[in-house]
Amino acid sequence: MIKKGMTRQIVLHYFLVVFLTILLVEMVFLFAIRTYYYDGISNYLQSSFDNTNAPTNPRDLISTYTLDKAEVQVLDLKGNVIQNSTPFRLDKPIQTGDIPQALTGSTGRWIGKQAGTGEDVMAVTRMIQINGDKSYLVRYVTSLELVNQKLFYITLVSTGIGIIILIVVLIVSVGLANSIVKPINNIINVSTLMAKGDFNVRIKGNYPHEIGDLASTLNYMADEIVQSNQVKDDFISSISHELRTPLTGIKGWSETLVSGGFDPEETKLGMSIISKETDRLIGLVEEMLDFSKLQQNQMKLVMGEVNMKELLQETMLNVWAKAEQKHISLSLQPGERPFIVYADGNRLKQVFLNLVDNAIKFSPDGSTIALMITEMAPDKVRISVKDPGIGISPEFLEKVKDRFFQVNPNQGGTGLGLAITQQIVKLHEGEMHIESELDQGTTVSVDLPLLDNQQQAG
Amino acid sequence: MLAVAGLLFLLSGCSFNPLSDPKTLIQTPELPSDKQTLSSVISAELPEGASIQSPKSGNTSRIQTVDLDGDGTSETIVFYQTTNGRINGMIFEQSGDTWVKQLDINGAGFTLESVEITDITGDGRRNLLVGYSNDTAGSENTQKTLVVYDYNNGKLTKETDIPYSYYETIDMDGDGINNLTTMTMNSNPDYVSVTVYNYNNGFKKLDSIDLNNIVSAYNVVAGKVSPDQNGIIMDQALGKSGFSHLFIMRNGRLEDAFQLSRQATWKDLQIVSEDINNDGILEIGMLEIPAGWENIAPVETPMFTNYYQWSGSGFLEKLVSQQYRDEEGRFVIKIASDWMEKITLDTKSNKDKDLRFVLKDTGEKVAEVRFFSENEWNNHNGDWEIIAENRGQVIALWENNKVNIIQN
Repeated sequence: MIKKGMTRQIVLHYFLVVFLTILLVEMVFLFAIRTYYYDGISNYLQSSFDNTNAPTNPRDLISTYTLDKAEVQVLDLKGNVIQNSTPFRLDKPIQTGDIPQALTGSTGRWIGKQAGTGEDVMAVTRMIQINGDKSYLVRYVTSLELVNQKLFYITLVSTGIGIIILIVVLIVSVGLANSIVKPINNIINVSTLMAKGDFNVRIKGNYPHEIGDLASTLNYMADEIVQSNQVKDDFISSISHELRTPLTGIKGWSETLVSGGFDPEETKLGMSIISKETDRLIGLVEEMLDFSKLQQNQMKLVMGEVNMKELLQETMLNVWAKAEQKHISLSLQPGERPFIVYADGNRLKQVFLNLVDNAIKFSPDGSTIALMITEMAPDKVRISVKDPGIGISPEFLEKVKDRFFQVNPNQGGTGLGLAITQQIVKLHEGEMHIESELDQGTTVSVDLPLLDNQQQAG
Repeated sequence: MLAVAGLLFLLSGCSFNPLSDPKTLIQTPELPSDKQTLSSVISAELPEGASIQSPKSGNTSRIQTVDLDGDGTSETIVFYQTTNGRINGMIFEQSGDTWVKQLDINGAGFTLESVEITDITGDGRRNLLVGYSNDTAGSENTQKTLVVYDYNNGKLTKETDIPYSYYETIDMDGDGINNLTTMTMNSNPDYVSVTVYNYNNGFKKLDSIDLNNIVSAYNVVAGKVSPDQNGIIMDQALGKSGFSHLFIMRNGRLEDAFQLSRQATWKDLQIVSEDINNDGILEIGMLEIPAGWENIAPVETPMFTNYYQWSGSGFLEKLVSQQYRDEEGRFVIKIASDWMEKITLDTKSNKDKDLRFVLKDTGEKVAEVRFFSENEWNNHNGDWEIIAENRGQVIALWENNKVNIIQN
């Protein structure tokens, strides 16, 4: 027996559908066959009436209408048997359903059990008029035993065939069910392994349709998990590195200072380096805090009206020093009118600081980074940061916004910058787009909803 | 679909073809068990090669079961033809659920003409009257022998054997006991002798008459000929015509009621005398030329058939039924008794096209029978009632509903 499960269910469904189909078809078939035989017989008996000319003498009725094998009876209109083709007289009048039918002038047909023997018989009766005057009923009686025997045989054969078909269908349906269930079982096995943490297994085999989709989706998922694990590992190693570098500086200088014997100038230098490295550490930790807040939707925005031009100018001032180091010039195209956005100014500034900082980081010395404010739609403003830097290859373009992702993990940083930027923009119901071409530069655009015009006026 | 296809494929592949012609499956129904028992007993007792015979006339049942000797148990009488052509019989006695052969009947001929079971001797026991002949050609006027048997206490006694052409068992002398009446055709010279017997320790001749010039009869029937008189009517053929004799016994004498039967009962067609109106009294049929057709060629004349009962005289006077009977037997129009003799047919009528029944005195058309082709019938109008249909031809009747001359 097939064990519980989808195979059994599928087989059962097939079985049920085919069984019902066969049952109905056979019922219709057997009914048609039965009708065919019964009608065939009664039509043959009727045709004997049609093809026989009534004799002129009622005595000759029996011999005129005699028919091979069927019993012929001649009845008066009350049903009394006057003559019949058996050697015996029938004393009792006949009162079966064919008599009244025949008396109305049509051909009477009756199927039932013969009185006395209980045999299944068919009687076909018609009224015959002799010389246009006296009428008699001529009645054919035939046993239906042979027909019923034949019908029984046909029923047996067709039932047998039905069972054979069912068995064939069952076998085929087991095969069919297996073709569905086997891949699913395979997928279940593989996904169980995955659930236990083994993401290196893959679903093998080329399955069609939905199952194939399911398999490739699972495989893709495993790939993604492996990759994100890789990203996480990279992050941990890079963050450790990031944390260790300032700590090394702090530890070195603090030990040096503890040993004493330095002049105040040197001590001041050492202390300022310690302070700077501490700031760097704080920055790193804050970035990570921000990110985890964003991840948990715990970031609170302090909303207010923000003039984008002013915000960008502030941003530019903040990165001025860094840009100067690389001889990079920053330009601002502030647009025709002031664009006021309802936003958290500090967070937005963080966004643009990050973007401009990235632009400076990946741009060659002496280049220009352009900041542009453009009106997108009556209620939308776009701020673009365009750099002529190294650009991002298309394969990484989608992933740069992912957390911990870094095109080059060895360059330092947490890989959280763009992810945080993206989250903040999203919190402001804005969108961020990155267009880039390798070695040609990158343009990052942030679209923000404008404060309602009327509100602005008011 | 697959199932049906498979079914049909397999069915058609079977050596035993299940979809055989239904008519080959027609089968005579089984006999009830008691009759089967009887049948098998008879078959067992039947000599080898013998075949059970059906009487040529009368009750044609091959196996008759009656209480012959009046002892309360049934007897079965069977006649059979042996391989050398002789007719013999057997009597079986019922014994519980089965049957036992009681005795054999040695027949007296090669053809079983009739088997009649009736009390002819007046002793309360039924007699077995068997007609034998040596005829094998089936001619009507062959010489036959009637043997009267009496069955009592398991023994069969042959009471008499009489040559005959026709016989009737009816009470002719009015004593309440059936008489045997034989009609025997003789040739060279042609005459028929009619003899009435009664039984008194053997059959005794009551009276007898001879009628000359009788060649053959086309019908002999016995029964009441008037409410209180039994009689035998013998319809005699003469060419295609016929005339009738009525034999009755009056005052102990046998006589032909029609002294001038040829004139009194002549008809151009052989009309069978019978109880046409089911009143228990026999009628003699006559032809009547409808008024107005006297000078028209007889072959074209549509004739009325009038049925008369005997009224005691030497002529037919009591008309009981007037009918128009189609010569080809397609239909019969019966005139209502109030209108008999008052109707004739319009001389424009044609036997195979249109029959117009009109009142003799006014000539008013009161009914019409018309032959329609199928096409005509489909386009007909008027109040016509179909009375016969045959090979695309429709015969329909119209009747004046205010007069109603047609008997339903």
